[in-house]
Amino acid sequence: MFSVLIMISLISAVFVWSLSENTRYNNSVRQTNQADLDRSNERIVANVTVRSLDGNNVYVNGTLQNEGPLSAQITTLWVQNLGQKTYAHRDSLGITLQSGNVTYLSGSTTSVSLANSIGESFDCWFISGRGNIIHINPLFGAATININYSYPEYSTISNVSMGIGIIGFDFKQFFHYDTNSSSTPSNNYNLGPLASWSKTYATTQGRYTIFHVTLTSYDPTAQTMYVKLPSAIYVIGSHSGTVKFDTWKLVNVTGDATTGFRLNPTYPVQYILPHETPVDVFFAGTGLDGGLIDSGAIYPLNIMVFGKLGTADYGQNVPFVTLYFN
Amino acid sequence: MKLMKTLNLLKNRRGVSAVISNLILIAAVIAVGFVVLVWSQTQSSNYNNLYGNAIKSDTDQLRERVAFEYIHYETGNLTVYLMNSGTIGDVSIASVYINNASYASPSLRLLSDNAQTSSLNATQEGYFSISPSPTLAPGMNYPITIVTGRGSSFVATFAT
Repeated sequence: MFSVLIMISLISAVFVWSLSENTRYNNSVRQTNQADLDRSNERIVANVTVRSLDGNNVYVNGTLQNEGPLSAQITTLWVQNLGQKTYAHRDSLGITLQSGNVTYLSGSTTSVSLANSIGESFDCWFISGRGNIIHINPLFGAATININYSYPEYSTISNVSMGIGIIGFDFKQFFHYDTNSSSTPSNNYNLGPLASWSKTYATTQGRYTIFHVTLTSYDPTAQTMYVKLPSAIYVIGSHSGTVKFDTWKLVNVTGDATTGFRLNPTYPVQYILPHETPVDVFFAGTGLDGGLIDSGAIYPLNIMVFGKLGTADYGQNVPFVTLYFN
Repeated sequence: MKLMKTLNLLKNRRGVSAVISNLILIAAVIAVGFVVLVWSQTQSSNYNNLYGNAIKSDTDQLRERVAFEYIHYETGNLTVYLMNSGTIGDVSIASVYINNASYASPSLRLLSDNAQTSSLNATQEGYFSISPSPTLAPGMNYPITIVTGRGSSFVATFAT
């Protein structure tokens, strides 16, 4: 009897243990299936362009949008020079996208070092944390496609009527830095990070002000645009009842939005706008061309863009914001 | 005298009493019972170990996933960039098959710092290089199969 009891308990222990092992296996199968399902449901749309501006660095600009139901992480960027068959990567991107979110890619955070790359065609792709490869949205502008079919949703395109122009202006990126003086600051003047700038639509008359605007060229022929002096922001406003013309001219600003900008009023200036690539452009001045503009009123601001599109001359007037002058 | 006593004892067929014989029998049964118990326990323990290892091996293999990030072939050298996209670490490359040729245990390096490694942890990226022999024809597509240390295989295609 005793032996029978021992045998029963032994068999029961083995049975229960086998059951728990089977449960463990089933749980693993379930988790793996779920991970595979999550992987297949991941959907990131990369509306990006790949350009080399200086021959040694390739910049990937545009947006990444998570159109899937789950959050996703973008870990690595790969860029391939299609002509020379060279390639480079940038890992540890650490971009986390909640479902439906959009992230904007610009500057050095999404650039790679790739020598002798000027004038070449590129391909690029991203790797997600789940192991998916995210290629450029073919409807946006792959390396060899120069006509874009969709615009980033954060930009407002100025060509509301065909033939007016090809420059887009981003309302969300309009900032201004107001100094306390009417005199021009010296070179290397510290403007601080963009987050510390004013995002209001009001400024004070007669003060030296630096405007930050983000422009994007949507040239259908995909040529690079060069914005030069005497490009300026101008206001036609009332000066003691007389209509006059005030300007804030294109100005040299170095640094970046995160670590801080530096103003160099006497340095030469030219902004390069690659096709479909948002570029920060700065204008500065006192707006005292016609004396003090009447305070306590709103005025329309316009950007006079002047420069080159490829090798041809280009000029466009972009009406963009309304500003209240204290 | 002594001889006589011994002969008398042999002639007495009643011998050991019933109590003693029962005790001997019980002792024998208990001894055999313990032997059987120990044997059963050893057997079930061995079975548990074998079954547990088999289940662990299967579940670990199930959780392995490897993503091919980029495969580059140039001047006879093939570089394969991988990511451990599964939920288990310690993913090693046991062998690589290209164009019916196999290459055992290629030298694996981490993508982040080029350090040599024997395996990739979860979400880690790495790469290895091999020189396929014979060299691959240009402008062709080739399948590549990698087999991990746990026996999972992953297939991709690359163009030369």
